[in-house]
Amino acid sequence: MNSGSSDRSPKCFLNQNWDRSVDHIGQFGSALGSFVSPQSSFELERGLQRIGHLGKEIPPQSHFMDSSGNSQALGGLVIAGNLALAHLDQLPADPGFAERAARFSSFDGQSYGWFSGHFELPGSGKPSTAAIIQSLTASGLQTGHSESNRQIPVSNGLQLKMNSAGPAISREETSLSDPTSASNGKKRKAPSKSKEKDAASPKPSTDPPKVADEEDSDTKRRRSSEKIHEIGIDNVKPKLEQNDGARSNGNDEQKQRKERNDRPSEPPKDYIHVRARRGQATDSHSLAERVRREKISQRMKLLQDLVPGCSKVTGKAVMLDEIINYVQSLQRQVEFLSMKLATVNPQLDFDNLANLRAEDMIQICGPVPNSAYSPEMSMVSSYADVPQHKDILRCIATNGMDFHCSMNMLDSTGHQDLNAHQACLGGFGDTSSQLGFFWEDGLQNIVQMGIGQDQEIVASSHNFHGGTSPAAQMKIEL
Amino acid sequence: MIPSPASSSSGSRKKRMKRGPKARPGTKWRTAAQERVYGRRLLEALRATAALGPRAVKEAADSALAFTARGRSRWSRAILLSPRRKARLLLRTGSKIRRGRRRARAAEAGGRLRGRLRVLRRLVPGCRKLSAGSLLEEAADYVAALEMQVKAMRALADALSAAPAAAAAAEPGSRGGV
Repeated sequence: MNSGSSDRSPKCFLNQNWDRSVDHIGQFGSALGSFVSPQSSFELERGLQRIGHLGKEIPPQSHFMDSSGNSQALGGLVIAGNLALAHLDQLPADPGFAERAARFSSFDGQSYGWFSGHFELPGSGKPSTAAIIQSLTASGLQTGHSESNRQIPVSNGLQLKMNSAGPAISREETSLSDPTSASNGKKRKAPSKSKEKDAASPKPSTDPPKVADEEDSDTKRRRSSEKIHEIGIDNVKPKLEQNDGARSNGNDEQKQRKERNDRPSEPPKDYIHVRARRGQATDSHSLAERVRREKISQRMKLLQDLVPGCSKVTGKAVMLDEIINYVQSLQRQVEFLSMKLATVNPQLDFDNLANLRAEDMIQICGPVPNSAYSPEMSMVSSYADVPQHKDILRCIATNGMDFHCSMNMLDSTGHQDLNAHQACLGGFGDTSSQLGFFWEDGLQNIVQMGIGQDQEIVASSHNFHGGTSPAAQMKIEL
Repeated sequence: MIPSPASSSSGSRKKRMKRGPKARPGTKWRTAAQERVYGRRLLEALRATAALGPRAVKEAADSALAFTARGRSRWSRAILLSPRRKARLLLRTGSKIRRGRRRARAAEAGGRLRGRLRVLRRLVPGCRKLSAGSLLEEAADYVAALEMQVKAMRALADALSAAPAAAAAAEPGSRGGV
């Protein structure tokens, strides 16, 4: 397990950063609050405290227990579920886990599988992951985060409800379908007969028709946007040996899966089911077409909310017109403002800028610790400002560090600004070397201004270079 | 027991899962935190450009925006990786975007969905070959990011212009919405 944890240490931020991150656990809660909402942050902290209590009760078994109480907390949380799982110690050893656990405040079968897959439990049996669920249930995360669950927008409808888990692996299917389909906000296919499925397979796969229907549409939806959960769910199910082979196939060829149905009577989750609506064509082409069209209309709805003045407009063409106009106007505004900034630019000097950053922060962030924003702020800040400016920077730096606690993997000590920066620029890539150089100038200034920023730039460029490596947990990305 | 294909896909699933509960672009870009982040980057970019002309400022602002997007979206990656940007940084000016916009206005007239999708493809950077669905998704993210950019730049411009002329209202109403 140590070897396993060592090569997962970039992702799991195991030991070296734990102390540092633990120090911010208090701020972490507030940072989390900034993500979710003010009131749910209290729940998060309460949940974290509960985890702490739980951890203290349980005899420590993982090797990071020695760090601090909080690490014990999180370790004990998981360990509570199954003491035999030595490899579980890799899992929660980062603040990112706590945040994710806070976000996914409820679990059902999908998250179950997500959980197992997310932390890459090699060889973990289903009972072990079931034990995790039980332990998490016991730790009271559910009550802690039920509100935060509501408030976190879940784009793909991944609403994870923490059922009183018990041994209910099979229960997760039903719970999976009902809450997720209820809260998904996606279009639900009408529970009509599935001619395709019936024709394709004589199996009693329609036994739980409603459940399967919703799950199918959910699965379909999820597959069309992001392929996630099917694998995990099949990991969960204890009785689907034959599904293992089918699953790996199904994840790859969803089209084929739609047509042929060689699944057992288990409510199938691991491939796309598209129910044909009543009276509509059921061949695979039209089904795929319909899926694609629905995806497009879903995205159009998203855009409709974003672009002002589109609520009355019906029809894709007119909406696209509006969107195009809006994008063009925004780009024109950017150009205009950049011209304006260019004229103002020569007047920049550092003192001016320091004050300006303070004003800007105030303007942008609304109420800020020290003073209320007022039109005379510019005058006031020009003269009186140094303490205010420092406070603002401190608050920003704090938030920045909270954001990027998990970025510590990039620089183990956490504060090697220039070194990490240089190393990262080396890894930036030759195509963007100029850009890296460009940023370096600015970053020299930033080193003086705020620490967290540097980490975030380092981390982001690192992340950017490596694609979306799971190593860099961009918590800003809500 | 998780078989090996699942573990390999679980790596990608891990990636997906991290992005799974992400908020929609409307909420993601509108947080004050994002504005702060972008504001900081914008400021340092401005200081770096140091009066190279308005186009350089715009490029810097766009690069800052794309950087703030952390390369998660396709348009941000296109902006950051575009050799065009490098050339701009080397003080060469040119305005492909403007040309594109003219063509966009012309092309708007013809065709319905397809034509407009084509126009949108040209508007959103890096989305030339995307399907309609992904294009709309990128467009949503891009619109939200642009809104934030405009807001931040406007605030910065106001702050910058107000501060030196502390007593006088140097540019009270010269700022106009386009």
